[in-house]
Amino acid sequence: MQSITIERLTSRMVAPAMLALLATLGVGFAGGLPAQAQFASATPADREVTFTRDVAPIIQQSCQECHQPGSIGPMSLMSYQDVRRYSRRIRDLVVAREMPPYQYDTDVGIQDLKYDPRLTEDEIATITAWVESGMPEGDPADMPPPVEWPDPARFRLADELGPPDLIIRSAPYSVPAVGQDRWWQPVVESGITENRCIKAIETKPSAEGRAVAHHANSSWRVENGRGGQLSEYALGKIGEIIPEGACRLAPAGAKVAFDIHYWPNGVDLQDDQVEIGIWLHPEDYEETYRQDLTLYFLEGGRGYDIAPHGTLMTRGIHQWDSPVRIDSWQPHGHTRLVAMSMEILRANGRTETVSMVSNWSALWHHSHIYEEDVAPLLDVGDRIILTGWYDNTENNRYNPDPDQWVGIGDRTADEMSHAWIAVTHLDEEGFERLKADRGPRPVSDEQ
Amino acid sequence: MARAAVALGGVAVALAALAPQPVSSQDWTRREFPLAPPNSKGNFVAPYFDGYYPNEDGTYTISFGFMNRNDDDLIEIPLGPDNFIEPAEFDGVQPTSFPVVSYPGFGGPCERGAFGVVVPGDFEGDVWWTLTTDGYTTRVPGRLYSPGLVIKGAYELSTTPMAAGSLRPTIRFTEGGADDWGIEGIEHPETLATRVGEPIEVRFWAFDRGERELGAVNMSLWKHQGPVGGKISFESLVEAPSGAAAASGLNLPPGVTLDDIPPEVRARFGLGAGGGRAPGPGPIDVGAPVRLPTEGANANMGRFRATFHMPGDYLIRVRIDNFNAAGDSSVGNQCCWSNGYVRVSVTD
Repeated sequence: MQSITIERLTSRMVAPAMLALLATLGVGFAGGLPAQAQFASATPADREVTFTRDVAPIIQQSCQECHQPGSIGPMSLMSYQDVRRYSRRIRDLVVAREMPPYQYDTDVGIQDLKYDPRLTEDEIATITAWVESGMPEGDPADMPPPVEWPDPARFRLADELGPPDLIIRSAPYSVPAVGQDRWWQPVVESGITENRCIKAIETKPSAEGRAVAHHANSSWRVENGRGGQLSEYALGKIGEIIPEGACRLAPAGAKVAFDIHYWPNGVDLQDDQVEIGIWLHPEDYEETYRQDLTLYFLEGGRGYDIAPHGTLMTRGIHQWDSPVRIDSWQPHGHTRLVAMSMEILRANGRTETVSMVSNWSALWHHSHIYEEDVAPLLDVGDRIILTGWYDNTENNRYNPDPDQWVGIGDRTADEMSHAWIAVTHLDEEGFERLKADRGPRPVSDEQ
Repeated sequence: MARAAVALGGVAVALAALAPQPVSSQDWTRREFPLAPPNSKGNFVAPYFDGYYPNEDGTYTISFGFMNRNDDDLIEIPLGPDNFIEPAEFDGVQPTSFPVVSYPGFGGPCERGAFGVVVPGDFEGDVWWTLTTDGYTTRVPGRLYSPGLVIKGAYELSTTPMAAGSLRPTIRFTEGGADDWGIEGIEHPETLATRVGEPIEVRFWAFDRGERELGAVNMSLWKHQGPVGGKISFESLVEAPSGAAAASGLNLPPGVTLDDIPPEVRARFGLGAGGGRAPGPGPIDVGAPVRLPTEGANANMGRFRATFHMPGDYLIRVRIDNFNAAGDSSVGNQCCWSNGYVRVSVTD
């Protein structure tokens, strides 16, 4: 099996254009950013880069959603003065690709993703050049008109899909300001009266509860048991889109069981509720194939046990008895997880790296949704290989305590190792048709 | 995080594995290829710091657990240079017997909350627990702070209710006497005495606690301390609850019976024969939970016999949990259970 060290992972984190610069600084991304850095300017053109003409559009498009009053960002970036005040920090974070907070390697695997907020290399270079040149404001006439931002507490997918057809709310729970993790598991009515196919799902903590609702999984409860996973939410995740033609079923008469992991974080929250927004296909929607969202385990150690100041690698190998399309991939772990990858091992022995996150953070969980024309297709006999890397040293700045043994568990201090993967289950006809629709395409990183 | 949903006799089982699957939720056949198990023998015991919680009197309890990293082998490490706590004032409360445990789902192979060290409210520094197994030494600090740069408070535990209202159950060893709860536990007021081969009988009372409808609690018995090789045979004297499903110690969903559980699932979670769970009086394995009755003349009473096969001084840990009482209590949650300790002096 291919062996990848954490050091090699670092090289995948940034585009080659930036790698040499950062290597000279000895930057380990898990260990934070340099206090001072010299960045080579890669100006997009031989002209002055100004805030109003060049930087403001980037900030509007990629930053203000969160960095505006009432939203989750710690500071506002709505004006030139705002951005100038934090300019060097902004530069450091965008160069390290820690902001926007969407950790996904740029130089390997599938890059065509839905709802991908990553900056382009040109955008990063523009911001860098602007800071390096003294942060000129530029001509006010060049400033783009301000964005009329909708309510930051809205359902994000509503921007594209309109309001959800159904909103399911958890029973209220009051989270204390201090204390240990706790799991709130109410079961509520769904309001679904007939089998329907889901088009999209967004689980949304309350605006006040965003910092303490670490996870909010949900599943259907049907008579005599469990009706499958409805959705998964972890801190930072936007939502899920089910591809056209596939059906993630909302069963008639089912209740919804929430499993909300609250972690007290200094906020005394009364009667908090998590909402699930569900967009449904029309009743006459022609479902071709079923899609589901399932947890796929990785294994390692006795129970993900990581020694004090140690590291761990985990691995999971899975295959299906029918052809499938992988629609999305979401790594999951806690504070010691630092990287995860998904590869395909084809039946003929060839491997492809599909996705990699080399700088994973427990603060931002993303379901990476593949554009439909590039979502991986697996035939019977093909397998996915999931690999996780854990860092229990001081180099991992999210590590709460590197002196501890760490093992499997539900709490923030414990670890998990799995990936949430949405899979459309095909048949041979559907598999061949999707392959034919795509035609031949270049294969990257295939061995 | 994915969570196990059904509590049965003190351990949690993925509900999907118990209930028959409706058509709307077909099991799309998939195969997993587990990594070859380490087939671990000759491995070591790792100490674990589970967290800390404040007490009403201003002190703090630091909770410790352990992981025996072998597949099957019991490891015993006597108190002394291979098993000690620093500062020395806290030494002596830790276990010397480290069985292999395996909790399903995200419970894992770690025995959490095996003992607690109580420190004063102004305690600074660390309480280190050091274990050496066959020459390999490892240790962890129990501490009231988090040195992490970004994530703080990950090791804080609570004495306030869990999400569904569960609190740590209480235990007392004398009828009508004082009871207590917590990881640091309560000790039997007497040191019991017996001879090798002559069983002792222990009675105690244990009660669920919580800001919710109260339910049953489970007892599990552990050799906490004792001479190396000194086996203890435990026998539950708890009456069997009524009803077939209840007798299995399971909290099954409506309409689901033990027969609905596939044999491989039963084997994996130790249900039924060989699983160590006693549906009534009879021998029980170390750590196997037994549900205590909540009704009748013996309501909330736990009774067991212990027979010792070697002379020496022993300390039995009686763990009382309410894992099956509500969905918010499980091993992985670090709540809710309490420990009781019984000292026994065994002579030839």
